[in-house]
Amino acid sequence: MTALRVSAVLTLIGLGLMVWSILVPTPLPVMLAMTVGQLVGTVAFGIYLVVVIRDLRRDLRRDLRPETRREPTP
Amino acid sequence: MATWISDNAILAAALGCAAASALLVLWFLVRRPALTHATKIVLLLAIGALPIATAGTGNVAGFEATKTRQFCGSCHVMTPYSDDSDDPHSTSLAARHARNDLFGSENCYGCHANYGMYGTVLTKLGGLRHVYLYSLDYRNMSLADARASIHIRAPYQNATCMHCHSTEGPIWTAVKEHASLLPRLRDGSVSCASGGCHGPAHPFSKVPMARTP
Repeated sequence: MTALRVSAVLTLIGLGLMVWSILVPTPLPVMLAMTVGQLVGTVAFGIYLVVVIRDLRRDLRRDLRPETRREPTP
Repeated sequence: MATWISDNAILAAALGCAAASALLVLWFLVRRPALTHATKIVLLLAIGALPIATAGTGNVAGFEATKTRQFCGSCHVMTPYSDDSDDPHSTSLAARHARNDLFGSENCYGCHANYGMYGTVLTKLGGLRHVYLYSLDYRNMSLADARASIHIRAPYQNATCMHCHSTEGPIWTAVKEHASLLPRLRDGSVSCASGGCHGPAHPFSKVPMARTP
């Protein structure tokens, strides 16, 4: 959950840089948005993917354990 | 500002996606919902799809913004150039092109962009070089000093002029100077923008040569 909160905050930072470049299209904001803004946004999405994939793998392993596997009904 | 955004669908889309994403992210941060499948899907939109859409549309808007005269003139050493193009009474080559709807507010880019196969990339790389030079050398330079040192990096290519002025129209070829210089204009050995022809494009930028005794 903490990782997702970090990801959410990074998303807000990346969005802020992108919106700044749209509202004030001068060299510094535009370059920051296209470099730092997108890097921060990509890292945020990467963290989200890591968390979700880790959760999915954990659920899959739990479902495959014999004690949690449901026997088919006759 | 509101009219400018509503007139531009890409800007409106970028801001709309950014606003939707920010709202969903703030909802997640403030409400702290349990991490159910539904929450994960909301976060996929908030952290993935909507920011990617914002970045995509924002990139297009950013690249379009870099073509405008307002963008070029945002570095102080370029303000005499942009002011000249804004002046409705200026008779410079640059200002006359700015008054042409084909160029309009993008007249800097229209005349200084490279039109080759990799033209856009090369032009943007050249722009990065401008930012680099401005940050290191020109940022604190006075306009007078900048005027004396700013110069075009390579001789202006007639091919850029010929992108619009094909040199084959009857009105163009009827001008006797054009007809007599045609081969030299096409191979670039005589510049369209040379003094006495149509140039210089930015006459105010030419510092008078020191008179030699």
